Amino acid sequence: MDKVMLEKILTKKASEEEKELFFQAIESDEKLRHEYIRFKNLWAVSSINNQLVSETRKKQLFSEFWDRTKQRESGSVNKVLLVVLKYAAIIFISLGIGYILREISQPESGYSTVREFSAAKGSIATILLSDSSKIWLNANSDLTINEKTPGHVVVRLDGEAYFEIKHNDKRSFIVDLGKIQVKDMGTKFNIKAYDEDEHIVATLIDGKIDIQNKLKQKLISMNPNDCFSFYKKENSFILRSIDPELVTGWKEGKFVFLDLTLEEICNELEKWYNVDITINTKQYEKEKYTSVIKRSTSIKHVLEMLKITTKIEYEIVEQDRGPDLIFLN
Amino acid sequence: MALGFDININLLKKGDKATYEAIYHEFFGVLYSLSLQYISCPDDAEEIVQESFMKLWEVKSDLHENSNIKNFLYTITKNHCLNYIRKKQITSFHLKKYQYLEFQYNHDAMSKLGDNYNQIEELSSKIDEAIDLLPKELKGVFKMSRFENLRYKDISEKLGISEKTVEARISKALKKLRVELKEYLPVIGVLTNLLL
Repeated sequence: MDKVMLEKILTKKASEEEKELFFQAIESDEKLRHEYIRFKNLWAVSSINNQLVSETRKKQLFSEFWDRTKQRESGSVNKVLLVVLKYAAIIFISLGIGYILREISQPESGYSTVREFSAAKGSIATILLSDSSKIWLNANSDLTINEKTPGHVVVRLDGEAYFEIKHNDKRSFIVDLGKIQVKDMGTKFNIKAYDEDEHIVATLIDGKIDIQNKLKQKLISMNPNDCFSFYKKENSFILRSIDPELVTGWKEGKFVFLDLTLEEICNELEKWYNVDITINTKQYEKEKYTSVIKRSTSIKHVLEMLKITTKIEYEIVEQDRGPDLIFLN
Repeated sequence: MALGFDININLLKKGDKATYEAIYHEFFGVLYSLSLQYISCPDDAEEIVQESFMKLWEVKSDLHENSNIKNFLYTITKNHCLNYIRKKQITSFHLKKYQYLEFQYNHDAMSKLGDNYNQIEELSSKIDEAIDLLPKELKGVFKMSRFENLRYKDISEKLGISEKTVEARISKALKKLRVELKEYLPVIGVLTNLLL
């Protein structure tokens, strides 16, 4: 074994070309491989007392650890609890997909923190705020919490989220959806606002929310079981009553398809399962479907169920990288 | 570095902050340094170790008199790292072959690390002992380089000696170490040979 090269590798000073040569050599020679692994582990053990973490940093980290112990809850398979840490990175892992979120601090206005959250495809993220308010973020959704001043929180959403906000007279909590804003008054509500959708849907489960326009003029006050649908192009809205369970089913880990066309259903499946679906038949274009499916169901199983009800054949083409392709014929 | 005090399991079970703080300060750095050797990303390494302490918190009601806390933390951390490496290997896009292999060998190496933290602690102690037996000037320079990650330039500035002197002293220290440690473990002798 080339000692000079080994040292370069262990001290992380090797160039890309050097690494390439080194690892190719190890790959083809078992004895060399064992030797490398032995050295690697020795090197690692001899390094454990390197004081790489300062006392200050340890104090900071311990304080975050202690805060987390106060907030930890048990969750089910589909849900992961995210605890907001002040100046640290958060690792969010769900269904085998890793995600890293960072808190960005803006020093300009003296007090302003912007926190971004994302739920990866195939997962639901739960965000716990320091006042015990909770937000569930559906798959493929992004949420930004901007605390402009203490007592003035603005949330931006691209996707779907369910909010359980603890009411606080001294704090205003607003979800900014572009043309309209949802103002919390101490509530549980669900908002579906994907950028690519043509409408925004807000459903109130409990409490009270106001819908206002960009100029903060109140459009409407909502009561529990009210469902507010805003059509972006037409700039119009409809208020109706609805069974909220149907709208928030996703929070419990279920797909809830209410009067959706095949295309709309496929859009939801694409987001959750991270697949690419192409519909090659015009046959069922105008049909509407209603169903409730557990999200833990495999995509194959879902397609099987679809086949049974609609007789549509499917073909899955697995990809080494990127989303699997599905064709509906 | 052996634990300087006995961990009071009862206090751990009760969630006593001071006890957790003590273990945290004692052991976080070790787990962090170890993880960093295999997973390279400092932020993720911090988070992994953080998660290990969280796990300890979660199972604290199951702890008993004979529980080996350090071993527990070590095992959890090791497993987290192994999962992390696997995940990165599988989900990273545009991986070059050597990068894929690098993940593989980090995983293989870490899996062979030994199930018991005691073994690791012993090995680490032996290295420390040998370093302590070095003559004063050699020890100082060597420690600075090895443990404080200072470069020769920084050390020469700190101690007011030339860089060449720094280099010479480290070289001498390693030679001595090799002799000392060869008595204990042949394999460490090879390591210091490597460092030369």
